[in-house]
Amino acid sequence: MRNSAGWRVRLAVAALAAGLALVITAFFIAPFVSVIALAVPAGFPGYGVVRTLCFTTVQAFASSGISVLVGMPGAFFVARRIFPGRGLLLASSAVPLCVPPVVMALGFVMFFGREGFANAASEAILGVGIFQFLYTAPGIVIVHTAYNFPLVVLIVGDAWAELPGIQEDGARTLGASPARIFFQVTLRQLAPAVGAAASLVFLYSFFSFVIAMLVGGLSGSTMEVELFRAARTDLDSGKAGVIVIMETAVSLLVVGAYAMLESRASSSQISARSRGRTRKRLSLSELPAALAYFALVVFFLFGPLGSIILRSFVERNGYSPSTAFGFGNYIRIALSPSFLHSLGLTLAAAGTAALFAVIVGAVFLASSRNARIKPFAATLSFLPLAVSGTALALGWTRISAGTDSIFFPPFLIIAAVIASSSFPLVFRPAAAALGNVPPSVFDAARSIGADAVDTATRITMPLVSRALLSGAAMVFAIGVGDANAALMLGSGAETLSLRLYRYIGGYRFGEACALGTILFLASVAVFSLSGGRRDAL
Amino acid sequence: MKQPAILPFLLFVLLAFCACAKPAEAGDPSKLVVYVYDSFAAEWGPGPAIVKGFLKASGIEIELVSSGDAGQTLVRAILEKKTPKADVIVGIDNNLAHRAISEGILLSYRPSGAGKVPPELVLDPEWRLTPFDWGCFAIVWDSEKLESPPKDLEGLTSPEYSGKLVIMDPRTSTPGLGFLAWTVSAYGDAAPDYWRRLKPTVLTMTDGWDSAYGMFVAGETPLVLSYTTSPAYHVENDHTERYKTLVFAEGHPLQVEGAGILAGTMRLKQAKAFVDYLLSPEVQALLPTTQWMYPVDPSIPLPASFKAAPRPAKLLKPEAAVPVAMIDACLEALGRK
Repeated sequence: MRNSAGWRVRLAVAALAAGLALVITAFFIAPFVSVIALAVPAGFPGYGVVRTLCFTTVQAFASSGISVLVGMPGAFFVARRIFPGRGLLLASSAVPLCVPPVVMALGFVMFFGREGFANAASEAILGVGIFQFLYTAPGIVIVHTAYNFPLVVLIVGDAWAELPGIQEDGARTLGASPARIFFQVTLRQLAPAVGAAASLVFLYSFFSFVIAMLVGGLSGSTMEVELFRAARTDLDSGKAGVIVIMETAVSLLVVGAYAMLESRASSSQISARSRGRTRKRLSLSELPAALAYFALVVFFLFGPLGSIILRSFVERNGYSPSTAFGFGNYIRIALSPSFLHSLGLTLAAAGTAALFAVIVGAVFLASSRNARIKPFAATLSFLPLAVSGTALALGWTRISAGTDSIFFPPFLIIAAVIASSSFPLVFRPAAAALGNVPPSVFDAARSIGADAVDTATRITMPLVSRALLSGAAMVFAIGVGDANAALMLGSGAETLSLRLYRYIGGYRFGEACALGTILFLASVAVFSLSGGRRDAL
Repeated sequence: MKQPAILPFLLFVLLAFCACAKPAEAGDPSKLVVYVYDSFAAEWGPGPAIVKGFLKASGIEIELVSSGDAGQTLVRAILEKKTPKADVIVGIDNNLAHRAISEGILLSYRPSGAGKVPPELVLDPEWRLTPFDWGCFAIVWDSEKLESPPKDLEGLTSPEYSGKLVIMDPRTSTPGLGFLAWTVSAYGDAAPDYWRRLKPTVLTMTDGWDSAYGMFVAGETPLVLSYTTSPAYHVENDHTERYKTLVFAEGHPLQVEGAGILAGTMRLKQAKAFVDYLLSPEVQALLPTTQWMYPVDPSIPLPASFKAAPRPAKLLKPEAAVPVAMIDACLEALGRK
């Protein structure tokens, strides 16, 4: 018997959520269409661009593959083992999302550069600096991996924690070796999450601009350089439109290939009642492998990050023996007249963006009719992440030129812009989690009279809450680090990340590093909060 | 099953900051709307002081609107040609001037202080752009990391500087394009050969000035492409003279920044008053330590820190934009394409 009052409330909430989802997706579709519509009269942009496209694709493909290899052990540890620093490893997923690339690139230079700490240490010990990968093509892949693999740890780790282990136990009882169990059972079950994570790293590496140029030396150039040139230097919108179509098509093609692999590999289904295994303590036999892995993580990720944090305490530009350490950069940031306003605006925009993204993700999930999403739909769901920020900024410039000013609080518009291009981070991992739920669960719900709203609110959402929470934290981190959306609005809205770009453009590297540290800590706090809740679920 | 805790948390954040987030102010009809590039509007840029000073001097309120770099700001003004939303655009340099003028978005206006501007800095004989500051691209060196710096462009190709220079990509950066124009003015059609010789010296080519200069102050390279005035910043704020400008015999390319009144403005009188104000001694004196550029009015005394910013004897003023084919040929020679 349907409780009519409760049902009406839920229906109203669902209708509101669906309306909001429509508005938010329009915030992505409008600028995207506005840019690609320009491409029609422009024609073929030349073979040089095709060569650049190949270089961009190959480096992004290599970056995603190696990130998965490096991220898998981490995913296993966070899903199945208890160890000190687990929260920190999960929170480091915030790094590629919230620390602006220009700051991270300088972090790698400070740590792995010719004058950096790693080479100074190796020269002191071995007599020679052994870290020579910066300014080479492999350097791009190494830095993209070091920067992005925590995303694999987070997404695959979440899925791994949910696996019930019944099939693994069955295989073990039948005498299968641990390696065989991993490749034939576990990996197949994890395929959707691995595909989603690999796609994400591919896209971030594909659209990498600052890092690829700085770290790659003179080895080649990426598509974003061509897009920037067309959109901002040559002011050739037609060519920009063609480049956006080429970029988006190729990135979606690769993401589509991952989705095909996912759909072939994943044949497992878990019981809706299963909550995954409880985590065990690290055993003595696992300790050497775990220590080696974490040493690698600390060295490649926390080395550069630590360099940024250390630099934030250096009082003046340039290192010299007389360099003074202190809180000067932080004090200058805090005392600047509009800091509190920027902080409030950033937290409000990022928090609202996360809320919007969860609502849109939930609406998409509920309307995907519960079944595992097909490769085509899976590919299409990445579309907002497969369009470059430069392209969307151009689209927004075109739209705002033709419309009157919008009288909404700036944080609300910034949040909508961020949510519109990042909601796949909520939707895709959640869809991957839902893919493992057998259709019989939903059939059973229907047979006892549950309607679409009941099914969505009582079955679908609780099953994917862990993935939704991770996604929300990721969108929050993006919201904290994004400067594009604030720029689009004009000078009324100075978010912290926009302040950071202004610091770094005005000789103020110490303040920029200090602000980068603050952005990172704010994101870590939200990751820890969502991580803590996940453990309690 | 517990409900996710993040939702109430996010709602809290939303409600808590609704109150403190300012409403959008764009479109206020009483204000003069001025498009500027991003660092102009920064707290330490000249923007805030100009807004205050102009209000005091004329009683006119200004709204500064920044939407990224100068290129992006110009794109916006061009797109709004039919329905202009701003009255003045600030920050169009000699690289962008041709495009801004040919698009027909600017009105001619010779400001009251125009007579003070030296002829070599005039951007347009019809004064559709009024120059307000200028600088020169130069190689800056770290005297604690390098004993004998190069003396000219050719000197940069010497093996002793192998891997010691960081420059910016001419496709994404104004100083990067300025450096390329510099080599073209010095070597003409043989510029790609110069870039081939320069290749071993270039450690990397970044997207913009900020990341390259960040590498330089982190000690990664002792040579960086920047402005003649960069060392003055370090003297003024970091109290160090370790960073120095290299003055090359072949001269240095000029960068002149200008402001123009946008065609279709409904506040022409106020816009003219603003352009006049940019050439006033008050604003001109503000520019050296906010923009780190020279004022166009030569009578303005410079701060003591500008002793570290030597003025090159020979200034190169590019007459025409570098052809795209030449940019591509130089990049090809460098191996970046």
